[in-house]
Amino acid sequence: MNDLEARLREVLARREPSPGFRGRVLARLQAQRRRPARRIWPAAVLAASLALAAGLPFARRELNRRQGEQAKAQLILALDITQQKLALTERRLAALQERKIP
Amino acid sequence: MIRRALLIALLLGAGLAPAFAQDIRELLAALDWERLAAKAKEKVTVDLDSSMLKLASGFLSSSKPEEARTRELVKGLSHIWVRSLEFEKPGEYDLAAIDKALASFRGPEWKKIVDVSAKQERAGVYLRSDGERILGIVVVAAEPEELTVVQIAGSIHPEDLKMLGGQFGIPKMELDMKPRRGGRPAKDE
Amino acid sequence: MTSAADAGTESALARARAGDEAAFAELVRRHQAMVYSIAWHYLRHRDVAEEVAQDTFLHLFRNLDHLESDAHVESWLRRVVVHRAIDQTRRARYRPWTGLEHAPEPTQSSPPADPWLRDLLARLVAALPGRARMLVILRYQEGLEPADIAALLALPVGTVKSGLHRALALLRGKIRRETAAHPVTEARR
Repeated sequence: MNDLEARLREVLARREPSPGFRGRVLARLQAQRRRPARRIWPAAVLAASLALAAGLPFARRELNRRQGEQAKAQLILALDITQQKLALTERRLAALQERKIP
Repeated sequence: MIRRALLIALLLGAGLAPAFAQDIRELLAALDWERLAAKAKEKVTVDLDSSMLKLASGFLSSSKPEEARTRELVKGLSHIWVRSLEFEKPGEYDLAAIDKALASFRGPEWKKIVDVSAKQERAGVYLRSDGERILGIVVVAAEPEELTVVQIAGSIHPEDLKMLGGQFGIPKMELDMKPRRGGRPAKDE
Repeated sequence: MTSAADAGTESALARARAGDEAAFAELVRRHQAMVYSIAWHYLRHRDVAEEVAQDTFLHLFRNLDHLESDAHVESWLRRVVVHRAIDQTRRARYRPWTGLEHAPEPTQSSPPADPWLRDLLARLVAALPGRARMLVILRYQEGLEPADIAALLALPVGTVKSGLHRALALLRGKIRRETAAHPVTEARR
């Protein structure tokens, strides 16, 4: 076998990414999938209609629960995005600092 | 020489919230955000004022460590605002317009933590403080196919910034930090 | 007829299409070395390579419905990461490191036979012009035949063959010069 080609295969052997790569992909995927609901949430509108029509305490509690869960989802999404972009900034800074090393 | 790109806008301080809100409205207008949003293939819009933050916080479990820490972070916040656009291809927004719009966030009350620029990217973090406390943070990330602005207003402890993932560049506040609620000791970062 | 491994992979693809995140994680595990290595060997920058690799898998998730088999997944991923890596160098100021002592190497399972020559060769490959570098990566990392490389890069087969021939000649020449300038000594071992 051509020695250079053999050495190229060795030098260019596949390598694993740094530990946690899969987790980072999944974290980004989860952040992307947790899209906030539209500002007017159909389920909340439906629950509100039920409350008005029937005047049932259950409907009011259900409305509050849905609104709370959706607010929580938005909060988590916002913090996920913040973390992602802070991490991006950190990577960019590290990359530029590496390039300054003589 | 690294040019500085700043994208992070942080709104600080409940008392200053109206001014910050005005700043952000002006920033969005300067970026012509609605026009950009119309071109985006995906959009994220989050607006959480203090009442929504309180509501959300009520649904965070104190028995789950991550959610418990989030509850602590949220306690001091007055507003979280996120706008993020993802485009089909690069070149859908003007980086020069972003640089110009962000120039308005410079001033004695702002601490530029980091800003980084590359050929078609900007990334930056700004903190606003009153000299003793962090009052907010602005994060801006302009990538070739994605543009994100995050604004968090309220009283933020440096430990909370670490929780947000900011392990880097958070300046040592050479000040006596007031203790957190619950009696945790003040710390220099 | 499919092997048990193929059946498992086909099952993971089908489950991932149905939204099973664990199955998608399995697809990532199976192909992450390939995707990351192409990005790393081309870009020679760990952070950027990871980002390109992550973006590639996120793109995979959005396109699972268009894929039919694991072979298709692999070839599809290879195509996407190749083009994303090439795009990355076109639009950003990221250039491959030639000073490899400052670029942390990803983990390698077995120790190199001749570290000096290995490092030299890695440096020389990194310094190849973009197209030549990708040809070499696809040929010697991925083991693709020139016809497959030509299809992937939308180039004539003759161009691929001559490009590989020139790249190898260039590398041989540079190795000879470096070896003459730094003869093998005990100090190098």
